[in-house]
Amino acid sequence: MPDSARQKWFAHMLGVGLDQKILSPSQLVVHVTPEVLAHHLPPDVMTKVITSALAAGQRGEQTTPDRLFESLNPDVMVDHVPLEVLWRSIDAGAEKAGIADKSEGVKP
Amino acid sequence: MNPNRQFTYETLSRGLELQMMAPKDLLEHVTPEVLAHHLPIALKAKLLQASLNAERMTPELVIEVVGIDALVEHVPLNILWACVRGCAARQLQGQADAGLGASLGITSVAAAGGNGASATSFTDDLQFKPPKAARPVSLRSPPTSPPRISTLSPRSQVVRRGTSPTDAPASPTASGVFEVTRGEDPPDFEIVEETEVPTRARPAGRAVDDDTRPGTKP
Repeated sequence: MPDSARQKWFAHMLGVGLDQKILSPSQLVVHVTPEVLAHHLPPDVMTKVITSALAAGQRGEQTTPDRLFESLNPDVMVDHVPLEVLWRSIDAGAEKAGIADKSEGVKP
Repeated sequence: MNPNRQFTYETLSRGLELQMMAPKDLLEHVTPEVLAHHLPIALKAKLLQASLNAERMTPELVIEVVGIDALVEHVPLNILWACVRGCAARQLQGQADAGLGASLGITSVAAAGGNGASATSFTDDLQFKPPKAARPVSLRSPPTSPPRISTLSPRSQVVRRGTSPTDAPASPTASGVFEVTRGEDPPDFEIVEETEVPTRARPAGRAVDDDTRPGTKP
């Protein structure tokens, strides 16, 4: 669970963004790439991701970004994925939805 | 409320609730001009009345009276998102700074109240830096053709008063401060204030002796 206000805020943005279709898993995976996930997810979380993907494969289902992020809820992501990476996804989603002006984005 | 406004509303209200942003952050972008242009007349009247009642208009009051929901409804979302961007940047920067501090062991200092026992790892690192007193002090040999131009300032002039380099020996003190010994003998030089040195016209065609490097000059 996110333990800082910063993480809670980012988790909330991610959650609402996904709920409101401002963000989508396919947009998320542009920034939160498999490489990022591989670098930052701890073994127990990665186990869940791989297990979920394998189970889907056994059912003849494709491994899609939606499937990938099914086992990665916002709370889990803010716990492990760097917030800068998540922010780039959120900001890109806001731009695509027409909420934000075109920008270089935040470069911490 | 459409998804974009809902998303912005949630982002702002949660950001304020978690103190990731403050009303004054919002007012940096949602300026009085923006409020005046975009708020409906009824809300502007309400804001003015509330300010009169409170006898002071503050960012907190503006947000409280207008409300995030009304801001999201009436203010262009790109303006509100600019607030979010600014606050997110600050938060990410703060996170980066905290990470840097942790890598330097500064957090352990803070945890120990600034000067606690946990600070030893940090101060131990500082001990690798040699004290100033241990640094070598190089002494220049006395000038051979006074007066000359000082290397410190092209307009400073060195005037010799003694002939022997041992007249007024200079040495670093235990604290590492370099001092000229002040005994009965005057020091072998003095620095004349720059303002006292008259501007000397250099003869045309003569090489300027500004090169203070040792060795044969071309």
